[in-house]
Amino acid sequence: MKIKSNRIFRKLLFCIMACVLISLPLLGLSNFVMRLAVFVWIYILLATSLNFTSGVAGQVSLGHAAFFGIGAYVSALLSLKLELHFLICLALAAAAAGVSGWLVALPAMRLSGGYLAIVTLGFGQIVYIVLLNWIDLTRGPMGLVGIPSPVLFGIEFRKPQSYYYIALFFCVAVLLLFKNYIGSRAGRNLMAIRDDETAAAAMGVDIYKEKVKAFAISSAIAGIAGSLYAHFMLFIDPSKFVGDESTAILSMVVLGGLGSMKGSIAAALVLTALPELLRGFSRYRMLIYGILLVAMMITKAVDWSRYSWYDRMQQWIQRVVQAINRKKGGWKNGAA
Amino acid sequence: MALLEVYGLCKSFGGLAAVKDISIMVPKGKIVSLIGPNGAGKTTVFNLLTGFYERDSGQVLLDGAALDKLATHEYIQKGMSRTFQNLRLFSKMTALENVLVGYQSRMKCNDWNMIFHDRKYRQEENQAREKSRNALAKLGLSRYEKDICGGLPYGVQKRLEIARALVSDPKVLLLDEPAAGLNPNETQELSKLILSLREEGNTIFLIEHDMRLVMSISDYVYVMDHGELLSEGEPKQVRQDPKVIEAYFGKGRVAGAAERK
Repeated sequence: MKIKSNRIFRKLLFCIMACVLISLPLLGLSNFVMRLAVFVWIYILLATSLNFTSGVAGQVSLGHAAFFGIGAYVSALLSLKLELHFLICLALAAAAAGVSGWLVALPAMRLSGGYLAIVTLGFGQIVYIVLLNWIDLTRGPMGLVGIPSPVLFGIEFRKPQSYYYIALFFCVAVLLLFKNYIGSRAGRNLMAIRDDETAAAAMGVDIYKEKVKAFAISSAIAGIAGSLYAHFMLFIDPSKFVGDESTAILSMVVLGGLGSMKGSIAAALVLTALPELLRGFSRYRMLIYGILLVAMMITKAVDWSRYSWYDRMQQWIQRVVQAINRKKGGWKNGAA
Repeated sequence: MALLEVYGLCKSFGGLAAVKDISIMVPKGKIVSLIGPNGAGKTTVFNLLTGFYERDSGQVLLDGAALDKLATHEYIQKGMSRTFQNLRLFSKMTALENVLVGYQSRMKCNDWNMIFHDRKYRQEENQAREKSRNALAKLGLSRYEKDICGGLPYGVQKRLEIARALVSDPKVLLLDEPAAGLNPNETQELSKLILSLREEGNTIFLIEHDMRLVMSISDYVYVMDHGELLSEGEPKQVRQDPKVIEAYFGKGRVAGAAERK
């Protein structure tokens, strides 16, 4: 009974969410809101991918924006210089970010804790400085202009209302596959590494290999986010891919609860939308944002940790089902 | 021929010889214990046998095959599975997940199977879950299945660690002080449990301080002190060995105790 009710509830929830998400651009919302919605999707990808290494596997990275940047620049340059199709650019951006993540991880994953954080921080700086100074290729601070919008099935996805669907499709597809992966043996092995490396090794987990793989996968997904960003903004410059950006992504992961995918998604939504919603406060916007961020971190009002949240939901459903059953029993008795 | 054969095992840390020329035989289906005072080098022997330290010299044969030049994570695939002296559970994972990680060395799905949750993956995962649930049930832990193990009582965590080591069907199960920190009742239950594991055909190599436990369940006992084998034999013989008594109580004290009487 428990499992059945749970499954029905899940399906219902899924349907409602799918309807809302698909019909969002049709509700006549302003361009501003739809742009924000696209950004939310991109940040959800960034936060969940960083959550994979830093939350699930426990390897804190402070240079996630670098892979976001590599993805964005690779995708933009390929479409500008070689005029490749958007989908090919997206795939190659993911591959480029993934390979660079792998190369960084090969030496970096021999380190842990603070040392690893500093190495990734340094890598983030290197990427930023290269983007800024390799003027022949990246045009440095002038940025890349005129990145083409994706064209699929003869339709140009330029407006936020239509681009929203591209972001939605890729994000949801990646998230679903990602969720599968984390829920399987690979995810458990990474959590085991996070909790106790010695015991994980004793249970047959190849610690180094698993960590490197996790870092590469996480970087590749950040690359996808970068590609989605470049073809949406149509203009990119290095200032978007600085260390501050890495910190912002990490704060989403921490706020959502390290290791919790749902938490990362929720926190990415809140922390991307919040600064925009605070525009009314003009000058005090970032001040209020900062205060709210601190307050949220301290209280963590919603407990998003993956077990308690889910368990409580399940308990609640069970109670409802039990109540319904009791009612049914009552009716039957009354009839007899 | 014994299932696990260890010949002339040596290990030193800098100038300190932690393990000197140790030879041990663990026959199939028996409980063999390794005892000795604190700092005798017992856990070092375990760490050498499961690849946490590299041995300086000596030979280890499991089921006739030499365990040489293996990475730490490969030992469990060969059939050596262990628990730890101080609890080393994955404290933020559930009890079931802990045991599933214990089983992971037997799972063969690659990354693509896992990403797409295809049929091969689902079959293997279901099988793994069933196996893990059985292991939990065997140790009486079924009701803790969904609990985060960091918050479970100490005795339960101890048993969970055995379940995690047991689920991969190891050839030899190495238990490092399973009774440490347990109360007499729990120790009693533990001894029953270890005996029942032997009944099922498991081979157990045990490090333990609780003499009553060791003497009541072991088929054969090795005694170590200062990195060397002091004595070996069946529990009865070892108990009466004057060298063993000396290592545990010292010469003078025993004499003193006798005078006081």
